[in-house]
Amino acid sequence: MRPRCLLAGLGVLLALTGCGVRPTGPVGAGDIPRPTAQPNPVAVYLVRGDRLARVSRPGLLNQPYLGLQQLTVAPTDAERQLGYRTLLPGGVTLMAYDSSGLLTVRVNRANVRWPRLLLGQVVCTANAAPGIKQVRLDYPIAVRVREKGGTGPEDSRKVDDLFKEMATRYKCDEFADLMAN
Amino acid sequence: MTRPPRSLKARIPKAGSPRRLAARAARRVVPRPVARAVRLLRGYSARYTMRLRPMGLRTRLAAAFVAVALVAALLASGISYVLVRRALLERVQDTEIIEIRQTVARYVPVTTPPGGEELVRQQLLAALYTSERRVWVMNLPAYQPAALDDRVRNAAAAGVGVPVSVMFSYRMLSETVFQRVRVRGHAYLLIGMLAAQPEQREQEGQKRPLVFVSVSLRREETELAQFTRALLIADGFAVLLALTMALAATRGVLRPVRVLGRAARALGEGDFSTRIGERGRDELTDLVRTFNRTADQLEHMVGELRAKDAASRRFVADVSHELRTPLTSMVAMAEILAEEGDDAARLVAVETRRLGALVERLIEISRFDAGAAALVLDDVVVAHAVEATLDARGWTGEVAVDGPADLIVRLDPRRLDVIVANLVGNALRHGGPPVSVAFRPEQDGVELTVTDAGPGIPEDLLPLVFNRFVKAEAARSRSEGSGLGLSIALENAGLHGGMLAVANGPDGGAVFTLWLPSADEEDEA
Repeated sequence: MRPRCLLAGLGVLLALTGCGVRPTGPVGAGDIPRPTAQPNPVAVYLVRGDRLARVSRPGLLNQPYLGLQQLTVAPTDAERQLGYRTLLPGGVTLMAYDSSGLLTVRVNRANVRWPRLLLGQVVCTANAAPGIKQVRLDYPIAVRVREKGGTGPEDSRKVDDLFKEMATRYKCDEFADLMAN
Repeated sequence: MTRPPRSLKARIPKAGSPRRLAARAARRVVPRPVARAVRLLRGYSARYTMRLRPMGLRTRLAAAFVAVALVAALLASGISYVLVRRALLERVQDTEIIEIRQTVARYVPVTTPPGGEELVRQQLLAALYTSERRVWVMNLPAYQPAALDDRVRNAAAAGVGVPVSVMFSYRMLSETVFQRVRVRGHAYLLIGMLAAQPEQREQEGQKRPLVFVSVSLRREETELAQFTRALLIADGFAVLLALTMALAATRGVLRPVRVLGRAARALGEGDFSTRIGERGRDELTDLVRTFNRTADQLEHMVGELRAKDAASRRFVADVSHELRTPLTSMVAMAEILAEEGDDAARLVAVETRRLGALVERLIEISRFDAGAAALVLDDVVVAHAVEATLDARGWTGEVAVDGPADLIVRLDPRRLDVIVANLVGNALRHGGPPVSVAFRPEQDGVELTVTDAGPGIPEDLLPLVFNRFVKAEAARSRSEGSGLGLSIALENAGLHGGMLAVANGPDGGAVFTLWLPSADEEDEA
């Protein structure tokens, strides 16, 4: 009688504890996390009238060049109502590569020949990132080859111009004349 | 009568006890070293069986010790296992949940820039990733569903490799939720949360990151398994220790018990001088004291009884001796009177003669009682001895004798004559003719049977037949027998170290069986 009780007790204990990690149901562990990050806002240069205008967008953690990405996003409803627009065509992406103060902006379009206003938008937005002194554009160069004969001196001059243009280093100060007020 | 013969072997004291006979037989047959080895082995086996008696004190005490140790060890192990497991799991749960919550809170901005949700999602995936986690994040549209739909749940389950229940997905919309899940024999910690500001819910078009993380608990499982193994090994050692201690403790308890048992056995075998040293102050010492007092009393009483017995026997011997001298002359005078006189005188002569015979037998018996009887050994041809006995009593014609003529046994011829005469005389007087005597060599001696064809001995009288003054026909108290013949025969057989037994034969008559061993040369001295 007594050993049977004892065995039963041990069995109950064993059943209560079990071995290894037991599964559970869903258990609450506090509220949903409240977002606390309030990184520095980034500056984005849009066009208002025929002038460059600076607007501020919320920033993200560890994303210093978020402004360039924001430039590719259409202006918000609120901004549109205030008359802001962008000259950047849809579908263009801008990637930023930093090398000690010189920011290379890679564009996914060939032979970029943008109006000065649009160039100002990109350069000023990129130059607004902390620690950036100069901005350079980088894009593929496409050359049309004539049907007959090789490349003439005209064509090579054109290519040289393109390379020269791409090597140009810009600063936002160069576009000061386009700035509003 | 078809009843099987019931035999009774009379226990013969002193030289004739069966154990001694067996020992003597063994000594003759078995060589000495072998006999010693056998004795040793028997001693070992006796000790061994005593140590491991199945329900003996030692076994029971050891079992109780071990059971207590086992229960205590298992209980302690179980409790510590539960506590350690809870601590281990709570630690990992708390660490993971706090870290994930902090990461999410750090990376999800209070206001997300337009079109920045995918960037946040990528950042969260990169920030939450470790080798033990699988992370799945989706941007939940702003409208508020009661629970995530099945497609989202299945995608999440596939993303983290752990099934996600409806309950879990429902609760994670309003709080941080975790759940331990077992998948394919391994445990995982599933954590889910939605990162959003309460006021953000109202903002139009705002998406909120929904975060699922599964953490593999394989390391914790390994740790627990190691802990379990360590606990079991410790339990094993505890039980072993308990067993050792139990054996040590029982040794202390069992030694006095063994001593007491040995002493009680000695007392039972008649050694009334047995005493045990009284040591200690426990219950067993009380028992020892009681035993010693009992032994004292027994020794005292038995001594008294023996003294009285000896005195009464001496009295009988003295009386017999005193009676013999006047009786001798009375017998002679009665014979003379009977030759001349009438029936009355003849009757007196016959009774006087019987009285004389009785006194002779009493004297003989008292010699045995006094231990004064001695053997006078000789090489005896049994056939001749039996023939001479029958001849001297004039029974030659009435008794059939059967046996080898050349059987020679070394014994006391006078005592053999007394035994045979008593047995045959008894058969002739109380049994019925024909009476037969048969003898043959048996176990280094002679076995002699005396058989009659009478009615046999009543069952209730069989055990008493060798007692003094016992007669088969109690009514005929004045029969010729003295009632001492069989006693004397038994004493004589015992003096030889032999045995005398009685049984009723299958045909109804009494069968007396005598076995006398041939004496050793050394016994002659």
